[in-house]
This record gives sequence, structure tokens and C-alpha cells, in this order.
Amino acid sequence: MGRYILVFIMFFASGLFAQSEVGFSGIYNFQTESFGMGARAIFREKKQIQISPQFSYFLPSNKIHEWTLGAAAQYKFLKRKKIQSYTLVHLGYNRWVNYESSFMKDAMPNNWNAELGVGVVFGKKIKPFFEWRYNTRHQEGMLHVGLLFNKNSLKVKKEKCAAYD
Amino acid sequence: MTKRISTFFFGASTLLVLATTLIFSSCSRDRIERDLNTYESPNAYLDSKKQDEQVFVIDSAGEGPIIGNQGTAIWGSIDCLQLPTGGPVTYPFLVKLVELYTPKDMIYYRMPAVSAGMPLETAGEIRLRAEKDGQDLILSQPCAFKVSMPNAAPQLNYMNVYYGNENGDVVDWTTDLGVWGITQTQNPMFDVDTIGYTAFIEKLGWINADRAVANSGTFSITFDSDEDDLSNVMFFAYLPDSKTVLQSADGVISGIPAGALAKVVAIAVNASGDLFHFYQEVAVNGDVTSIVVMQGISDLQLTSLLDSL
Repeated sequence: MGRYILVFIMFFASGLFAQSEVGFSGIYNFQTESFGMGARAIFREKKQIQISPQFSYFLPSNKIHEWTLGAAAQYKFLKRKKIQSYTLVHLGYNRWVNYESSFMKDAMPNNWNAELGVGVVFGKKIKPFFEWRYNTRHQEGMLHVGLLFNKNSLKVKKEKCAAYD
Repeated sequence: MTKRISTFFFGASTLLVLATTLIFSSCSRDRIERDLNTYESPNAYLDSKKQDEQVFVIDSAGEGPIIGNQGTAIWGSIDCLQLPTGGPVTYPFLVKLVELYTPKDMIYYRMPAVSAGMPLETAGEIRLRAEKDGQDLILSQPCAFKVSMPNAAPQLNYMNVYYGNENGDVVDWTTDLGVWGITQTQNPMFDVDTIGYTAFIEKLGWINADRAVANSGTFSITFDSDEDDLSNVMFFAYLPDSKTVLQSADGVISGIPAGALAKVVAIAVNASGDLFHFYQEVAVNGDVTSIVVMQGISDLQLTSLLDSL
């Protein structure tokens, strides 16, 4: 698992260096009734088609303990002022840690997952986002709720001193 | 502007396709729920195998008796019958008879021998009804029909006359005619004759030659499975020592006397109509959990299994 996380961190760091976006999210899988957390970077932030390496981790306290490392292609189809909507396709390597405790007959520890989704992002600097995703392999729906940060997120707006006006 | 509009409509149509996919795609809980073999109720199969109700048209007075296919003999008089409204009965009328003398037939008919949750030793069950113009007739009081139930080795003063108290699909056996407001005037014990057990019955319906099974406590068998969804599986236990048939309720067979040998038979049918079964012999000395693995079986094989109980 370590080397996969290292690869992701490199992606993540490169996202920072490229002045793109990074983000974190909480995830809920409705079918497995599991909570997880996610991290992502977004390249080509200003373009209509974006690339987003992503990592998600569902805690051992859940019925399903797993992590997924992959990348999404996002298509931005609507942009109105501070609201953007997009559809996405995500492909990822999935490591199902506690697969042995599942009742599924063909449960495997190593899986390749595909997900389809739709999302909406708000704001300009710190940007909340909501994503609904559907895992086509396991036929599960997930909700991602998180925040995206870009280079402007931490900038403090300089106030002009009235005395110099 | 044109580019923006086309982009918007491309995106909107993509979203529409995606949303449709999401809405109509089935979601699965297979990863956290058991992926079990599922079955449907075996009631239709059991109904196809159960004993037919025999119908006798009584169009004139005679000596009798009426004799069923399996040897049950019935003596009665039209003067003992009345309409539900209390009026007299005229010829012709119908007498209907169901005979259950083997564990196989009791299983097919889903007629366990249990009285208030306690097991009964049985020498056979019959359902005796009379009908006139579609109306169930009743015995006038005090009046009785005589029945003889075939038995190779009847014991005097051994079996009681039990009546079936039908409550939905469940029949609870009782000796108390007061349940129906009838005052008992006949001997509540079966006598012995050349046919087997004989008694005068004071109510039409289900009749059972029974005796409460002596026991120092009863136990239950609970069923579980890693492979099969048991919600539609029907379980029966036959206790050969007392010739008792028991049936599961909510997946549990209860009322098994301590020390009894229980021959457990589970029956189910899958969505394709294929027959499945599970068979196990259990010596019951406490509450038992039986791990079930249903297996396919032919009608002929299951019939043979039930014959061998």
C-alpha cells in the first residue's frame, strides 16, 4: 500500500506545484453503509476536461475496509458564475482489505473498479463540492462531500490604508 | 455564443445519459449481505402431492358404513345433521373425507400433531365434513358420528379424540369441545374394534387419534445456513418413537421431547420449479442449531425419502 500512497503523494504534490487544485472529502457508500475519506488533485483546472488522481480510504471500523487509488476524467458541462457542474469517469485499483469476511462468493482482494459520477463545485477560492458516484463493478452508490483548494485559497486580500488614498 | 450553447447541450445530454444510468442501475449490497440461494414456497408442490378429499354423495338411507380409500369407516345418520342455520337436512348431501395416516401424508398436508405447543403421538388424522348445497353441515347436539380409523395394533384406552381448531393455516389439536360450545356426551377415548381405533365424534372437521407425548421437557431445532436463504424453506421433523410430525414456525421447530430422535426434512422449490431438500437425523437433548445445505432432489427421490421416515 505504501508505494501506491507515495505515487499519489507525488501526484498530489505535483498538483500543488502546478498551481492546480487539491482537495479532501468525506465519503459515504450507501450500499456498504461505510464511511471513508478521500484526497484528490485536479489538473487543467481551467479547462473543460480535467484529470484528477484520487485516493480513497474506508476505515477498518466499517463493514468494508478498503482503499482505492485511481484517476478520474472530469468533463465540465456547466459553468455559471461560482457554480460548476461536471460528469466524471473514474478508473482505479481497489484493495479490499477485509474481503474474506464478505459473504460474496467471488470476493477478491485486488480489483479494478470503474465509477461514473456527476458533481457540482461552488466558489472561487475554497470550493465546496458534492459528487454522486456509482461503482459499476460492485453496483454501489457513493456520495463525496469535500473542499477544493487552489493557489488563491490561502491568499489574504490586501487592504488599502485609507490614509494613503 | 454558438460554441457555448453546443457545449451546454452536449454536457446536458451527457448528464441526462449518466443520470438515467444511475437511476436505472440496480444497486447491490452483495458485499455486506449474504449471497444466498433463494427459494420459493413449496406450498404448490405439497398441494400437488397431498391426499385428495374424497367426496361421497349420500342420496338415501342405508346401513353404512362409508369407507375411505385407506380404510376409514364412518357411520352417521341424516338426523344428526343440520344446516348452519339449524334447519333439517334432506337428501342428497355430500360427505367429504381426507385421510392422513402416514408422516408423508401429514407433511404433504402440513398437518403437524401439536396441542398447545406440545407434541402428540398420533395414530392418524382425518377430516370429515358434510355439505349440502355448498353449506357446511354441523352435527346437532347431542348427536355423534361413529368413525373407525385403521390401525394394525390398537391399544385400548390409549388414544384420545382430538379435534382440530383451525386458526388460519395452523391447526391446533384439542380435546376440549367447549372451544366450540359443545357439551361432551361421548367417551373421549378411542375404543378398539376390528378396524383399529373407533370413537363417536361430536364435531365434524379435523379428527385425530392422539395421545400427549410424555416428556420431561421439550427443546427446539433452529436452522441456519451459509449457502441458502431459508425464509421460504419449510421444515418438518418426524419423531419415529411417538409417530409425531412437527412443522417449523418462523424457522424453528419446537416442542421436541428431550431424548427424542428427530428426522428433519426441509423442502423448498427454486424459481425454476426445481425441488430441493435437506435431511438430517438429530438426537435432541437440548436446543439444537442445524446448519442447512439444501440439495436438489427429484420428486421420486423425495417421495421415497418421506416414505422411509
